[in-house]
Amino acid sequence: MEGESRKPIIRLTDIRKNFFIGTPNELKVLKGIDLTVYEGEFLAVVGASGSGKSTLMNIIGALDRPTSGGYILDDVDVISAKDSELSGIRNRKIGFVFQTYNLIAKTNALRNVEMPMLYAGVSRKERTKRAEELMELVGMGDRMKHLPEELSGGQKQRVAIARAMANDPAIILADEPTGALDSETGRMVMDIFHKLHKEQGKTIVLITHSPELADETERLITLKDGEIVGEREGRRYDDAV
Amino acid sequence: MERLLEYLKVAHANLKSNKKRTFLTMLGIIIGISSVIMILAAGGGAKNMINQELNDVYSGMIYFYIQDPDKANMKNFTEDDIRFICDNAGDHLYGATQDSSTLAAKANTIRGTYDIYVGSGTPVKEYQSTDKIIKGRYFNFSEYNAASSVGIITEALAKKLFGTTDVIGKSFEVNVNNQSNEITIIGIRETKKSSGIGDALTGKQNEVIEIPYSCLERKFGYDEYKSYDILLIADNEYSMECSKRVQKLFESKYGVREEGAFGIESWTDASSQFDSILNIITLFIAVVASIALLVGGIGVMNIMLVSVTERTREIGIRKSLGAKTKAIKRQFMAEAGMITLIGGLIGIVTGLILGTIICMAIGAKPAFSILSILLASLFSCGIGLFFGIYPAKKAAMLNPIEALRHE
Repeated sequence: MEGESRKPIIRLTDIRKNFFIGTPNELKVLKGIDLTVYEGEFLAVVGASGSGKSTLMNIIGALDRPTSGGYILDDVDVISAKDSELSGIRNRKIGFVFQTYNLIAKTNALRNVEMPMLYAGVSRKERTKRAEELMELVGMGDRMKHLPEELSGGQKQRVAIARAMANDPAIILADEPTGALDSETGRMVMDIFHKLHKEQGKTIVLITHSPELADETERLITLKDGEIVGEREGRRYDDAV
Repeated sequence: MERLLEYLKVAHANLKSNKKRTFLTMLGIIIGISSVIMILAAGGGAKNMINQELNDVYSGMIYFYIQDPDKANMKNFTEDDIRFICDNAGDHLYGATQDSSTLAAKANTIRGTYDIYVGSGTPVKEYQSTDKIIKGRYFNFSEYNAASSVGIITEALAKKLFGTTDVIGKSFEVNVNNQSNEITIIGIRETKKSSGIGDALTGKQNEVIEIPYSCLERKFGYDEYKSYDILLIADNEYSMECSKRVQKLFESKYGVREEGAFGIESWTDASSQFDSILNIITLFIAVVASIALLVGGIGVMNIMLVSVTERTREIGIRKSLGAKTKAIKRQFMAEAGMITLIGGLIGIVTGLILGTIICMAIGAKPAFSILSILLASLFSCGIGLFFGIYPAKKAAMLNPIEALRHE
């Protein structure tokens, strides 16, 4: 692997996050996270619930700000960004995939995929063209006009992945993407991630509590009580896809 | 521009997805706007109509009276004074007549006895009403001087007494002041259709015979006319000029040196007063109607707040996809704006229709002013934006993490 020559895409330094600051109930959820993710890497973050996974994901996803620490995402200093700039970062640099899909109801699959491009100011024609390509890529070419309620869980998640890819983000941030799916459809969703990683060189951060899935990635880090307690290579990464 | 279109599309889709609620929300705006427009139109129409009817009776009439007998060097006007004005009338002034009341009387014909009214004056009285003489003629000064027993009856009275208006030259017995005289009909005055509102206000009667005042005085022994007033009849727009002229004539005739001897009250003054009273009433009702509009606006705000709560998760998703605070705000504003805009349009149309119906019912011409429609529309858009701001802000300020967690 050409590890040393890879460009760091996420650089977290001593990230801390406290809640209820200044009250007797002050809660230290992240206690100094140092993490670098390289371009084109497929990384898993594992940990039990309460370990700080979700908080870490919110910070990486620029949905939340850390109490202290440094965060550079694709050469952009996220810490010093204003709220409106954070919207732009979420829009262009991050593609979210949620456990609960989070598609917008009453809006068809294609329009859902177009939405990040809408906020990026992409013209309608271009939006539709790219959204159609992405729908094909995730194997949903025949269900573009379906409403989310007309799709199965696996199909919804594939639409969500297409949406995450819309603005060609620096990273795809997937939070328990297979958590609500049965093992067969979960497998299919994982295969799409592998495909995006291998064929398009996407950087993917997968947050999961499942050791099996985490083992399919290049590298996995283990979070416990707000600290990174382990880091190793995925055991079955080479077997996957 | 394209994004605005997107906001509108999303807004439209959202409103459409909950049609019943959208309609009920709009209903407040519709009722508000339509009642404002309806009231302004009906009020304006009624005002014009009443004004027209009052105008028919009072236009060109000027009450001329002695304000201060000491300054005027006389106690009351006489027959001579009236003739003096008639002889020296000049342009736009027809002359003067007694400010005599219309009297209740009886008419005896071969068909029976009827209740009628008797009006009296000089030949100038012909021009007091805008109702035209449609057959025959009015009595003239030689008949007036001779106190001839001639009269002009209204169309309505002719039909009541004879069943026809072909009655020139016919005569019938009039009993007034307990005295009876045969009066010969020499003219017919038209009876205009009216709403009755103007008539009620002016006390105008439709079944009237007009005779020379001299006849009333000498043949019926009536001498009520001891008031200090005379009535000038002029072309309405020259009322002021004519009354000034009459004032000068009297001042020189009686050697008046001080101001304030005579008082003048013209219809022009009275009608503008009347106008302003009606305007105040219309305005008051319009203000009350705007309260409905305000309530409608609050309804819009209320439903938008509900919508924000319902769509918290959607807002969170949109934010995670990179929607800026501004974009979320605009989307909700677009929705509030669309409700009020569509509601406003429906309200305007409804208001126009209802206003027309009401005006038709009272027999007036609807008076729609572009200004009132424009104001109502602007007001409704303003309400949409004003009441949309708070929920939109609330939506835009939502924390994306909490919004995403919202069920």
